[in-house]
Amino acid sequence: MATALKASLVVLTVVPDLCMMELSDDDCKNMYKIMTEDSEKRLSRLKEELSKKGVQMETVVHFGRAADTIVKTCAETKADLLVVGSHGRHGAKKFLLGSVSSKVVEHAPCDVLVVK
Amino acid sequence: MNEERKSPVTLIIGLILLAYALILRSQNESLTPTGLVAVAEYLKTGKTIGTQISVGLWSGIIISLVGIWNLAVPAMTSKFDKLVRAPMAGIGMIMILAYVTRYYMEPIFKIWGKQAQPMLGFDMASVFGLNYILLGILLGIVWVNTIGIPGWMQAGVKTARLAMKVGVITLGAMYSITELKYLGGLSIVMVATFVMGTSLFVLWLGKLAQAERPLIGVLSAGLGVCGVSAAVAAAPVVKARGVDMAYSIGMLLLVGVVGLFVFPPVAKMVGMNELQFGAWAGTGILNSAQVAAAALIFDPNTIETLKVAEIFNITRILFLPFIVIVLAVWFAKGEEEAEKGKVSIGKVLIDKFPLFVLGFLIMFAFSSTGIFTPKGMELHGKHFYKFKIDEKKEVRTRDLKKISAFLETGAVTDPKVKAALGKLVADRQITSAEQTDLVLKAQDFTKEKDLKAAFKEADKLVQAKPATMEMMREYMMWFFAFGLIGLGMQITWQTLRQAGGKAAMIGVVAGITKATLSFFVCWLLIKGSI
Repeated sequence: MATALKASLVVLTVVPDLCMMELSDDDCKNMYKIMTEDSEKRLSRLKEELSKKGVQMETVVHFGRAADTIVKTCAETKADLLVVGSHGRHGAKKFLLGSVSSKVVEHAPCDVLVVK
Repeated sequence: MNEERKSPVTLIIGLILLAYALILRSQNESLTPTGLVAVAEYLKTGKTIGTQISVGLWSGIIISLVGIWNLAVPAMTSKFDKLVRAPMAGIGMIMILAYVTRYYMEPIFKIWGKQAQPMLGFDMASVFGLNYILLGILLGIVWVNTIGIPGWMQAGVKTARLAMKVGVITLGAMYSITELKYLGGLSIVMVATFVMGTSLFVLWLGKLAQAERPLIGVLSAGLGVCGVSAAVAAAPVVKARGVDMAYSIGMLLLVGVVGLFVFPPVAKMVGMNELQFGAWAGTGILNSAQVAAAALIFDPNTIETLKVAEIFNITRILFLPFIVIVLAVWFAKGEEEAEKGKVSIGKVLIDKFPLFVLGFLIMFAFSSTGIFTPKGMELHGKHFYKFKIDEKKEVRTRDLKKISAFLETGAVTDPKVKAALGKLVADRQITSAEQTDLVLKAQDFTKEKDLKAAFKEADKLVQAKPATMEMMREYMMWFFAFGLIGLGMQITWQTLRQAGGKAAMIGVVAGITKATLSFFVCWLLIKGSI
């Protein structure tokens, strides 16, 4: 789709914010660094493949609650379209784990495409 | 960000605290209890009204002033703004919560516990330790998982860590040299055994479960030493990935939280004393803040348990660098192509040395010079004594007669004890620190309850309560109460949900093993009290 529209992609990874009272600022920074590097490493192959096809891709790593962070980043980057995957959990699991995609659909300031 | 800091929240919270203190003060002056004072009478918190007013007034004034300042000039990014102005709203909110738990929730549960006793057969408030510490943690947990932490509160919640450290540093002033020596020795033996034992056990268990090496390494440090902080400290040397850390942190927090709620009631049921429980909590509970929490849940009125537990916790933290080094060596061995020998022992020791332990030791050093205690008072054992001869401290004549009669029977074989008792009868009171020990030791020579009580009474009469120390204790408890509400606020469903996979299995097995083994060691092998 991105190739057809000649659009550029922003790929967002949300890492849960695990910085807590037990940890000093240094420890938190250390942890953020490891998590960020880790996510970037995982996305680097995708980035390479896409760049071969001529699609520009930017990777972003943010810390926090998934739904909130996605909505916030969407607003910040002024994206035209937000693509989000859905696990399709139901019943008790849905109640306990919540559905990121449904929260995003509800609160996002931009158009949302949910991939099932 | 500037918009958030310009909000009037800080001022509103400051005014709430101020208003509460002022209302309480005005109602406290009337002869018949009215309004809040009447409520306090019903809740039996009448004695605390003075503290409630003074803490409320001061914090209310300070928070309101910062609130006005924040409204007039938005906080910038200077250190002072970050450390004082931005967190003030959150600090105030947690203080309000601390008021609610300490002066309203705890007394209510106490009353309910008593009322429900005939029906349940036990006092639920005392068995489950439903005191303000536990209630504060629970309130924090409920708060963060329902309302969540709004932006204006976040900076304040982060200060909970600092509050706990300040609490522990202050605690440093409350040890005597004998106590520190005894507890230090005991904790080194216990902690060394359990830290090494658990770390190695986890390495073995991880291999058995065929978990990946970075994950095993992180878990080994976390379960062996001091929970989440140890896991993160060990992460770089075992090249842990994000996933490993997320799993381990979630699991370590979960095991710690379970321990926090399970340890105190279990100990109450088997009748552990302060020394036993402090040692058990300091060894078996994973995270530092949770250790303090468990000790205070077990015993919120005196600080004896906390003193024991913290020594164990500090000893444990001091073991961290060694475990990091052991793990580095272990990890390098398994990596064929890895670059070896990158960790220098000296660097790890310096980097990982916890500054608050230094503060704790400095505080202890100050305290042992006697600057917190008025002249003539000395700290001996766990009590303060005043040995200046004073009629008020005289032992009752009836008891003195009993003691001299006891001396004449010749039952006391130790000449030192004999001399000490003789001097007690002559002076009618104890006059030195050594004498208190000997008089207390005299209890071993008799089976008569009256005599034993008389010896104890003689000791009690010369005990003194230094005002500075009492005040420090009160403030310290505020710091802990504050910090522990913050502790509750970090126990989020989101974090706990991270626990999973092999990390969860290894964590549960190792956590339960450590808790159980240390329970039996503390319960059966540690005798006596401090």
